[in-house]
Amino acid sequence: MTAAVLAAAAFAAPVNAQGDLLVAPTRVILDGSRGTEVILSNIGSEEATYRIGLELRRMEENGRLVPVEKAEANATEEAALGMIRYAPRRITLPPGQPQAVRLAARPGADLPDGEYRVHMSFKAIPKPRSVTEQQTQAQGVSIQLIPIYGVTIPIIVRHGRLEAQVAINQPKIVAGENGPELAVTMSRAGDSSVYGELRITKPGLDDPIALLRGVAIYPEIGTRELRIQLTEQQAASITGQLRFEYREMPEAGGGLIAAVDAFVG
Amino acid sequence: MTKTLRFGAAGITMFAALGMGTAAHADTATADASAEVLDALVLTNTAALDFGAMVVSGAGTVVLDPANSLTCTDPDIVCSGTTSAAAFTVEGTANKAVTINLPTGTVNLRHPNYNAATSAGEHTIELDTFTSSDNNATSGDPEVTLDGTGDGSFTVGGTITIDGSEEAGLFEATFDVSVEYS
Repeated sequence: MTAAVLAAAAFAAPVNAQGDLLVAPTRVILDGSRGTEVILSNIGSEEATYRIGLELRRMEENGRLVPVEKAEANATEEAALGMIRYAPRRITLPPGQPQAVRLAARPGADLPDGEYRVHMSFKAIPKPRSVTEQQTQAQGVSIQLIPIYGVTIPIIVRHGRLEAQVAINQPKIVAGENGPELAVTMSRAGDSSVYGELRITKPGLDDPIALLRGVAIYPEIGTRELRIQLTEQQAASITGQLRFEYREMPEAGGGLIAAVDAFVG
Repeated sequence: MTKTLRFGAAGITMFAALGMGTAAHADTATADASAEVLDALVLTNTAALDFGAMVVSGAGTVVLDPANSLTCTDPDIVCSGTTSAAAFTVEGTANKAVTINLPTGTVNLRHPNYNAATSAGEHTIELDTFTSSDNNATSGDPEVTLDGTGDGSFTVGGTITIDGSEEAGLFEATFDVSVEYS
């Protein structure tokens, strides 16, 4: 093309937020026999259609959940995908309307003991746009990008007697990109995942200096690296003798999983 | 704002705490129905990804960063109009870090006349190098840490590559944004 393409009138795409959603609970642990429900609610202002699917994610040592194609699934992931039953798989909801998605796990009789996990995804399907919206100006290049956005939550099946041990080691202050960071390494051993909150307290202070909640360490990793961005105030007080506690979430009882007293200089 | 939902055993009852009216069809829970409070996860899209308008006379790239700052320096592309980085809000567990997954490859924007068999570059614009405002401290990968009240937000930008042969018209594509709870 040689002639210059003239600018189209700025194509201001209004956000109609088609697909805003609420999901509860945020993680599901199934023990094989009883099923449960996850609630999906349309909190947008328009009717929306949501697709519910099962996907695979693997955790990296920094806590990141990386998508895994089903073709690349290992034996444990294959088994996990095969044992979860759920319905419905597609839901159209008017604004403000919730609906339950029922799910259950049917582990095979000869399944080895272990922890099996899939991630249930809830994603809005964009509406086909009307012809009038697709009519374009005679000249110019304009761009229309529609985000398809959604969430995934872990669905965990524990089969058999499983255990895990955690140790907290090597807390230290490191220089991060945006100032000081507290680096903590946690080691996990055993065949189960752990989930909880890391509280960093200082003797004599009531409130924790730093608190990281919802910290999961899944079976595919033996080490989880945590980096906590510190405010200057936190950095100033996070020296000397500190106590690091990794506890179950309060709603799960708050039991102590691992603790260490460390001197941070 | 609470991020919990309370369900009666007889049906789903949602409180207006989440800015929603009570569910229209909620049954009346009996007095002895057990209720449980569940953590909820909310994702909303508050701004579209918009590169504004372009006058194209040759090849080049246009970069929109997550702070909505546009880099449009190639002489054959003149940018105008209002731009916006895609913006999302997340509500969930306080003080929790949440993975964000953006497209890792290239998203092809297509012209209405695009035909897989015959079209070349004139009907396609490439969008890639998605970037996020919030990243993991060590890896730099997209991650949002919810604050003490369970709120978080992030924005997304990207890079479009134009080869100069584009036909006039509206180029369209969808791109995936996924918020992963652990």
